[in-house]
Amino acid sequence: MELSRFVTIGQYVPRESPVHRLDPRTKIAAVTSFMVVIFVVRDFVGYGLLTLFLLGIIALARIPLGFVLRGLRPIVFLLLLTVVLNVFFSGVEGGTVVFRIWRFAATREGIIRALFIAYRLILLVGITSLLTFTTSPVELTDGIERLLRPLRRFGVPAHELAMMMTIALRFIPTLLEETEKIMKAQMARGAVFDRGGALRRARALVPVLVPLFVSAFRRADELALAMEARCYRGGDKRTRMKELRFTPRDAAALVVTVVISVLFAIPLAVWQRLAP
Amino acid sequence: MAFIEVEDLTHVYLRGTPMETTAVQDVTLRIDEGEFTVLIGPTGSGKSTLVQHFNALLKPTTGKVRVGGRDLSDPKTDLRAVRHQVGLLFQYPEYQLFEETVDEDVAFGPRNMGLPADEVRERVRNALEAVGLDPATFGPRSPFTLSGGEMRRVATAGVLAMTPKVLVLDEPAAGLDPRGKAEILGKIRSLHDGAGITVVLITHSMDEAAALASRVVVMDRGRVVMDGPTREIFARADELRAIGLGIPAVTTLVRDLRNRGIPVRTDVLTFEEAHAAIREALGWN
Repeated sequence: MELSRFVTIGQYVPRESPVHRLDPRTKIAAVTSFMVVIFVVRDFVGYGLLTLFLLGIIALARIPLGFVLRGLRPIVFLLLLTVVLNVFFSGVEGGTVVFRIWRFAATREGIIRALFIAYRLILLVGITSLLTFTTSPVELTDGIERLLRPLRRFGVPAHELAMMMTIALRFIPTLLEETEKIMKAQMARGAVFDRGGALRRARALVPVLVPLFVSAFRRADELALAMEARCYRGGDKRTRMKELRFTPRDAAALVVTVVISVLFAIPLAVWQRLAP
Repeated sequence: MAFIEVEDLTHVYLRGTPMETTAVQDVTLRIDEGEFTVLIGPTGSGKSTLVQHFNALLKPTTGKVRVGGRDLSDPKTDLRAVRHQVGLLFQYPEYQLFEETVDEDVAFGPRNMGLPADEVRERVRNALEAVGLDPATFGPRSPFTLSGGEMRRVATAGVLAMTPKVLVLDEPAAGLDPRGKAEILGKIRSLHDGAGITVVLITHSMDEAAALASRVVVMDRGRVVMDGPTREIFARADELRAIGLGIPAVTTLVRDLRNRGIPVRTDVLTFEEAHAAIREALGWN
């Protein structure tokens, strides 16, 4: 009954580390470049290097590897589905048939491709969850707001979007805690959530969902009141307590990531051709 | 006879994650049938975590909990039956109400016990009366139209309607006005005195503890640091202050008087006792 135990994706893990200290914009840019490379890389060597690079950052950020892997748990089903679909419907014509199920043939090439795609998903979840593990929600949305700022000219409400994201992220753990508390209170009154068919289970959730919604609305009301009481207004003239600062360290981190990304993106075959 | 037995209980939250915290450590505690125990301790001392083991809402990380002789970690133990015997009322229970009417909400527990409809109706009526709400006026109303104090009483009735042998209450009077406080605590006391229910009550108010409990258990940083008859515990004022707690207001008063040279007894816990002790010291009897 510890819900936050199962939902590690999107959690912030406060630590003292060089990765934590980076400017959120640096981290967002670095993650974006890493994500592009994940889609460009097409061979085993490339994925091996990417994995090493990712493991290196995880170690540098002082996040336990097990904790990162736990973030993959919610996508296990998606991974399996991806592999199965890609093995049989990858659209790779020809190739060596390894085995057949009814009319569908699994080729060697299809299997390799399916594994690549699944591994891509793993790397994507790994790198993005590393971003949230090392960046507090407030920093993250500050970063996004700054990066979106140029788009305000085209009518994108950058600040408002960022504020909405901050609030939403901020309340995930609170609502999880609340859900857990209400579930326990109803269990103390004899409610059972893990027995019976789908319909019965869905109905068993009513005593949890009703109080949860009531309290979410109450919290939203209280928060709005508290913000207005402190004269909150979105918009241009807002100053911030913590200005984001792009330091030489950030520049170095960004340059290293981009250079590594570009190098990794060049296929092995090209390197071999370049070699004398 | 001990009804709840806790042996070497340790509870660690989020074990194996960077947020790991030990909330309860090596606690051994026995609660006898018919006792009125008050559990005090600073915020974060593990009181709420401890009591959630009494009806198996939390499982011990290590250690054992037995309720009515049944081992709660034994997979054959029917935890629902245990929850029918040990009623737990959480902090701010008014936020657990969900039904369309007060009657329906109070009936949630007894219905989950599989009782027949007329028995459920009977219990709902009794429980509402026990918390001082008139079943005829409040029964058909929506719980969301009630005041905070009334909602809290409905939630309390929801637990009482299961007629538990043990009632565990986590700060039942927190956030209520003085009258609401006196009312709800009075009801709890009469349930204990009249129906003989075993009560475990968590509170931050030393006055409440002194007025109600026959036994006080003090927790600090996950451990039980004191456990004994109320009078003995509140005689250890310095130790209590050292962990951020205090002693009841009347006890403080008589201790101050004694420090100023009035030879008054200091082992008083209630207003009446203080009154008598001061009269005696002044020779007014």
